[in-house]
Amino acid sequence: MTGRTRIAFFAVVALQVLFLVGLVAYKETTLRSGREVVLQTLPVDPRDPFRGDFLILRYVISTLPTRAIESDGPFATGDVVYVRLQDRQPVADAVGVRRASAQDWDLFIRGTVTGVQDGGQVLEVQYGIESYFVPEGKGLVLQRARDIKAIVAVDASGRAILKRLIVDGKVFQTR
Amino acid sequence: MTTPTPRQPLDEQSIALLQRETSVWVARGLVTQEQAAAILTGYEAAPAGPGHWLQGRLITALAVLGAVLVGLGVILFIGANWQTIPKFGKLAMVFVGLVATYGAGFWTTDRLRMPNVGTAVILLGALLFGAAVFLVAQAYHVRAGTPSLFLWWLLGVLPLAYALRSRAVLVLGVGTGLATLGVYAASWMHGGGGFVLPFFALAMVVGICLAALGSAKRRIVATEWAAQPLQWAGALVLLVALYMFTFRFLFSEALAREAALRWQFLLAFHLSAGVGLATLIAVWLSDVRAGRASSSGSLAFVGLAALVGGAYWALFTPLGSEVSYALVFNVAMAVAILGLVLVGYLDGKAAAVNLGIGLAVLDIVTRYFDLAWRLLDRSVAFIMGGLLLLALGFALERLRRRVLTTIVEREQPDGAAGAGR
Repeated sequence: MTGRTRIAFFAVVALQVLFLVGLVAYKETTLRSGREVVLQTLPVDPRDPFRGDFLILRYVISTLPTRAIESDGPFATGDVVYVRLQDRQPVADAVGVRRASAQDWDLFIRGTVTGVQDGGQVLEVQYGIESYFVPEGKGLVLQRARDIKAIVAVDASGRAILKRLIVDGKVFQTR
Repeated sequence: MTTPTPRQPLDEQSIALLQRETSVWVARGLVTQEQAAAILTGYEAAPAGPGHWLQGRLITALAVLGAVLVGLGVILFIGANWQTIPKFGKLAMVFVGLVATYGAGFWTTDRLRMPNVGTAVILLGALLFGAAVFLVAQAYHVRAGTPSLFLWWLLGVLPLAYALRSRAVLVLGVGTGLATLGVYAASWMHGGGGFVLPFFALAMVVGICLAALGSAKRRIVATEWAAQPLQWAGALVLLVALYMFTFRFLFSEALAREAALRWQFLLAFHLSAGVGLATLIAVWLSDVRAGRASSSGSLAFVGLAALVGGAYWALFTPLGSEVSYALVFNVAMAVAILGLVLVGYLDGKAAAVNLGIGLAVLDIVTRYFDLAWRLLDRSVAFIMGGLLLLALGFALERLRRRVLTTIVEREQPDGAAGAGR
């Protein structure tokens, strides 16, 4: 390797490591400083809840009836939306949806529209918290569960990370 | 004070051939004795002796295979045990493993002077970087199919390929790039079905764009190391897309249920087509200006430009008849096959001839089963198909040998015609 190649090589390796450190730091910051919200999941399909080693989750707020809540539609598939949440113990509910910035809302979560039904009156939204990885062989408990709630950390921009699950009233342990 | 030019290593047979040839040139008065000696001083016998080139390739292949296997093993091990490993253990494994692998790659290449093995270890590092991105994402419950993960991997791999001028890492980069585009393209289409046609139309223009960029690297920028992987990857993607376009069902599905294409998809399509066409024109003009425009180059230019038009036609102007599309793209496939063989013959590229003949067999067999499956009894279809394959194999192998022999004879009038098959 020439001198320039060496410098370029070490610079790229350093950038790769820095990027990974940044990724971990960003996620950890959201986990530690993000606001905790409890979301109700919908019953999973008992035939195929697992694909590989992760559980596919659907939430009550995955389907939004735009006429029943505050909204600034029309919406199209692929739109990034902000969903206003209201913490009604024990779980949070969706009370509004809009495409514009939602900084004036107290609590909101960022999602992407994956489907528009009934002429725009019902939206399907994904929030990036629809997967939960479990160690091999640990999935049976989740498969038999009657009620699963998700504890989610939401940062100031509405990005969410799934922290843990509450399965039939108890915190699910992965180890 | 000038630095002496390093001597080019050659195997003993090539050195002997060069010595014989320079003697003939001196005897014919083409060069002086001094010039012949000067030519010979530019070369030296390679230390490994006969078979060095083959050994080098073998070492590279084994080392790359080893790197890929180790990379896969690490991904599978950590993937299966990820949640049971403590958090600091996970991060330590990812970061230490990545840095140690790159360090070992650098040490092997730079200090031990074993570039083939060293490159393979660095390739393993690039694979581990991808694994690290996916595993960190998994630790925070982000799904592996998330498009941005592929993009981050790509952004880590491409600068590494360019920093090291490494073909192996570039091949990984091109593969990661295609995977990135694939997952993004899937998220840019919606509407209930008909995704296959837009997907392969995009693949067609992306393939042309890659092949054109590879060609520009070789003809304009003269960066040989990057040209070949780009050209081959482009050709492969383009030919797979064109092959898919020869099936009638592709167009019936598109006409029955058209997918809505988001602006990102259209931007990617137009951008790939535009960059591809502009690069093709730039390469052709550069060849014309340099006085090296060849009939094979012009043929390839016209063929690729026509295929860009074909992709637009298939995606944006539905005719209402699936047969017309399939017919046109079957003719295009036949022309592409003939073009490959012709370009290979004119430019003396055996690989292009072999690829063209291979594609001809695939296309004929596909069309046979496409028709025979509906028209004939299964047993008759298989027997006739088998006989057709045998006859076709015999005829095309004879043709392939004849073309390759002509190429070798043209390049080495006195040499052995059997070489290079």
